[in-house]
Amino acid sequence: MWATDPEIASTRRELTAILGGVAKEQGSLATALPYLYSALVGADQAVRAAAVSAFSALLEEDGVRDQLPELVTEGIVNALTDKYLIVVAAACDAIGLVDVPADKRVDVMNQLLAIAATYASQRYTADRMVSDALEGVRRLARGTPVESRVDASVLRIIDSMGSYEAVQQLSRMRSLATEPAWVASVVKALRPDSDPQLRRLRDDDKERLLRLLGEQPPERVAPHVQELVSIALSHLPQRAYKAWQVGDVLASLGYFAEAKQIAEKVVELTPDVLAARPYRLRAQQILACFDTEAAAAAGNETTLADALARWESIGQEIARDDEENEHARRPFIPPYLPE
Amino acid sequence: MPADLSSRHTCRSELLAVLRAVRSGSASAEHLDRVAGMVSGLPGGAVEGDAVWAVEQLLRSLAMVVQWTPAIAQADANPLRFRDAARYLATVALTARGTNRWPTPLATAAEKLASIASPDEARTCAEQLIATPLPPRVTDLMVPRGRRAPAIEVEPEDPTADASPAPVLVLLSVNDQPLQSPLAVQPNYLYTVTARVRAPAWPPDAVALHIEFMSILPSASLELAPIRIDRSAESATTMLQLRGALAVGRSEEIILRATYEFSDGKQHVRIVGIPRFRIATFDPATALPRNMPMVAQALLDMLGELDAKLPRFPREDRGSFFTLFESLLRYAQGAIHDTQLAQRDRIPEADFRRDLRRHLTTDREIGGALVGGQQLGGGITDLGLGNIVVELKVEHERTVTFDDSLRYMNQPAHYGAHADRPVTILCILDDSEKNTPPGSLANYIGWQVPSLHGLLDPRFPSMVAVLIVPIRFPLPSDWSATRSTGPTRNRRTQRRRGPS
Repeated sequence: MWATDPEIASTRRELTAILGGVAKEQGSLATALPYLYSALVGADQAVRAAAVSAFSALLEEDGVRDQLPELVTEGIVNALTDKYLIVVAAACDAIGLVDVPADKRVDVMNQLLAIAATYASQRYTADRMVSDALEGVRRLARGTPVESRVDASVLRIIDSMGSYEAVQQLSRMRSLATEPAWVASVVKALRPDSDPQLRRLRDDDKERLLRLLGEQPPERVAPHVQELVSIALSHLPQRAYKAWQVGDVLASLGYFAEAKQIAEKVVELTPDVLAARPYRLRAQQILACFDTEAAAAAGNETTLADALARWESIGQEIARDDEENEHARRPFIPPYLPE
Repeated sequence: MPADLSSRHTCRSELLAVLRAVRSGSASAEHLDRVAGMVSGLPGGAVEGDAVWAVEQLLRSLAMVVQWTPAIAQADANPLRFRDAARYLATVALTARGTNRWPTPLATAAEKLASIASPDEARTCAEQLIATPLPPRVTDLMVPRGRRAPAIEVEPEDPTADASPAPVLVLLSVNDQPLQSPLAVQPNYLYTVTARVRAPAWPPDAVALHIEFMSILPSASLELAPIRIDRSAESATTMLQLRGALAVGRSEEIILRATYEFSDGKQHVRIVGIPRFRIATFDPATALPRNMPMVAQALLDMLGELDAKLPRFPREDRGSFFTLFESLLRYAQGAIHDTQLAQRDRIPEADFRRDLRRHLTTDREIGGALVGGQQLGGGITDLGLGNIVVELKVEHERTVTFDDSLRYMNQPAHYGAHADRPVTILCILDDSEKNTPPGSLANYIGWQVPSLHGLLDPRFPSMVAVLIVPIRFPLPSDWSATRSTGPTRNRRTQRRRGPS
């Protein structure tokens, strides 16, 4: 079947994929390798991509990896410069698994960075390939003198992505947090995405990044505090919880004044009507809480006592409001339970 | 809505008050300990190394310091024990700090308390703690996820203390077959129940392990004696006998309890493996469908599978399913062996539905409760009872095997999803030509579980009860007229060819 008309590429592509599976079996590698290698340098791009993917799967097998000749590494490295995206994408997926020779490492890293930089801003085109390329280049750079420079380049590439993709990459590559530009990249990624449909996605990743931000030294976050406030305000009025999360990060870093800005905006945007009053009062309570801690941090006991008194009066108002208006807010639930 | 912060306010106010009292020299150890307890209830207060936890530790340290001077005044034999305790608590806090970020005044107070040399230094520490902001943590985003700190009052664990033993693995088999719940037994039959036990480590003094079976069934109805397994053994047997039948579709739970026997007492131990199972009765003489023992057993097995996969399936819907499926089985048994059906030409689905509707509406358990033509998921259902939908299919050309039902089951599963009743019925009339005789109807029923969108292992799987009704069999005597491949006269073939 292998000797079939080379024009029938689809047959060869399927056979290549099957051969990749067969080669994992004990004693089959030597038989399958010549076919796989000829597919790697074949005329059809789909066949080449299938061969790279087959080798990628073989490289993941512990018992097989050591038996593969160096020619395979060369073939996968060469596939990075293929003119067809399908082959390059498969090579990016595989490159992290091969042991690239030291003399070729810099070239491969440059190639991977170039691939990622080219496609990073092209949303929905080759997201997986960009992700593989970034991971591959970081793996190759790990422990080398260029590691920090590569990480800085990776951050620049992430900066060129949309917020949705950038959040994903930064959340996956948390070791980038040691890079000086990491805070700026995270703050940029946390901005609302240009596509409204993507804005409410990846909340878990965003929270992870916010938590990491909150663990940084305050002076590192200082230049971006106002931008974080803007990000928090962009969630209002619909997603106050997200704004409170940013407020929490700022307060934990000691930026109480900025946290207060968020609380004040929530209070301002919450109408003082029967249905919304509990939200408004609780927002006022949080504002008083931020005031209290700000006063404590400033060492101003008088202000601290005043803030506590204000906080207490809001608490009393909440209790009064709950008592007076609970039935009005839930008119269909009887105010008492039958005995 | 954000949480009400009133309790946090109380804690914050008390904290300020007690620290002011320390500063003025009027604080009591009880007050400090009480406020420390309140602080430990704040988010992060139970996480070792967190700033909130550290405030609690330093308050407890201050509680020691404030007892130092009175101890000197009361000629305490060893007043320095309070100083040492205060130092120790502050040192513990500093050691646990790790990479946690503490406000500067908090770190200063901790360092000062860790090396406190005079009771008066408590005032400076209180000043520092007043100037310490507590992280507000309005949301749970910044609540640390570190390990929880042990309460300070907890005594170190005594390795010789009487700890509860490790759980034992208990596996049961009935007549050498692994037990499946519900276990269907025939009344008044004797069954051998074998318990195999694996314990990671027997308590040193344990002599034996007892397994008891607890049930609401009275001992006069259920005989299932406890099992005693000696220390050297791994299994033991007992006999099970149910003296009487349980109601159809009803099962009773039996809970296992294990106890280690010691020379001077007993100790309960938790069971893993089979800690409980259900028992149901199966009597071929009374089981439904009546006088179809193999089918009734298969139906009981199906109900067991349903209970295992959807334990919270509403009981009334389970009842509707049983009533409907049992009636369909009776119809199927009649249809398979109905020679009149074999005389008819192709049976359209509308005729099949009409025929089935007639059977179901004359069933005294169903009658007028039968529904059909409901709008579900944008489609129209064929038949149903309560919330259980029946989808009907007719296959004319090819023999329908149980696996073939896979291609039809998505439709009833979709209906079931809309009704939020993940149990539906698929009834396929196999109208193809027959070359071999039928098997027991029990072979033509069972569950199919369709793949569901976006779910690999759904918590609430959709289950389609499949019933294949093969019809158009020749007369039994016709089989004798053939040598190997089938009867010489197939009625439909003959009909198509016309009279010879």
